[in-house]
Amino acid sequence: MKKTAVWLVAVLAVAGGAIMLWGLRPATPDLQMPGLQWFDPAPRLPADGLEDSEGRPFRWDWSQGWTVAFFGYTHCPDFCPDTLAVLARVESQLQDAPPHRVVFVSVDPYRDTPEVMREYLAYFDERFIGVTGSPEALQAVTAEAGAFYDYEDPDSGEAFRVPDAKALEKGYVVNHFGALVLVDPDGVMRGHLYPPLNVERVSRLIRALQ
Amino acid sequence: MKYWLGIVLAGFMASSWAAQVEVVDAWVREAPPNAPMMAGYLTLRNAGREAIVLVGAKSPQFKKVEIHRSRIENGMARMEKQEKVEVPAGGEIRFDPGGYHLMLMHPLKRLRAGDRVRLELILDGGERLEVVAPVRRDHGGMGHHH
Repeated sequence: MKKTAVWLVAVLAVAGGAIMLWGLRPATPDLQMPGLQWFDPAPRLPADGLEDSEGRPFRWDWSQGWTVAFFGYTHCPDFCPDTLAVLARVESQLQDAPPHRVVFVSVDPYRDTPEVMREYLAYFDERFIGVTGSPEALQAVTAEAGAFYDYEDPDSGEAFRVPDAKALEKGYVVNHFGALVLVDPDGVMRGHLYPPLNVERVSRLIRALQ
Repeated sequence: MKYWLGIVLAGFMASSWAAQVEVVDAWVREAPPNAPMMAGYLTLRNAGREAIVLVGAKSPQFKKVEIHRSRIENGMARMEKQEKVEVPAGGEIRFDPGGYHLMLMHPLKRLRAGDRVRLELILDGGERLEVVAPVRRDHGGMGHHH
């Protein structure tokens, strides 16, 4: 009789624990919008070889909340500054937002060093996190996130994987993913928010990241 | 007499041409202190009866200026250098965030909101349009900011 009771308690404890853990897994946010895509199943993003602008290893999981990531580069004249300005505006005016962090990943490691990133992002918002990495690390994370990029000669339109000395001297365009990448506290990429990226859409999204 | 008539006519033509092309709403987006590229935006209006073609631009405050066009294609943000931009007769072309823009490359010194950028737009006949574009801090959103 006692043995059965012990067994029963043990099973219930394990079941209860499992149910609790299941309940703690971040649910897909309850928001639908044009250009907002949620993924299930969803990939865990690799962080090997990524570092923040203080030179510390970067991790995609963040127990405090969701990560809103954008992939771009600092030589970008139009799209990236516009998106970062929107993100900064949202940060400054959104009341009672759920805890979240904004991460800007440079896919141009040849020109964007951690120091360049730190100075660049401070202009928009001191809290924005700049991430850089080796070409291999960037290829791994962007492939998993669906955030493809390549480099292009502005005159010939020819695309290439690695800028040579000539390209670095002349300058090159980086074609990069235009959507915001949404990562849950476990470091799992759960969604994309496609352009148009304006204050209204981004605010609605961030409010939903409970 | 014929000589003077010729000069007067030429004068009329030059001034009437100049009056036909208008640049309005020119502005430059303020950028981080270490940003190597800034973007200039404006609207080109052509009240004339022939298309005008913009083939380049310059600014004494930047190393180089190029015309580019941004676009989103299959979720990718892309940018294409433009050798020329045609403004149709009686029409206008807008340079706006997310579309056409002047890529202002390598500012010779930091430009902040309130500063003024001198731009020279070059047309295919060699004509020049002088424009002054104020630097503005903008909160983004691809045009939802006026």
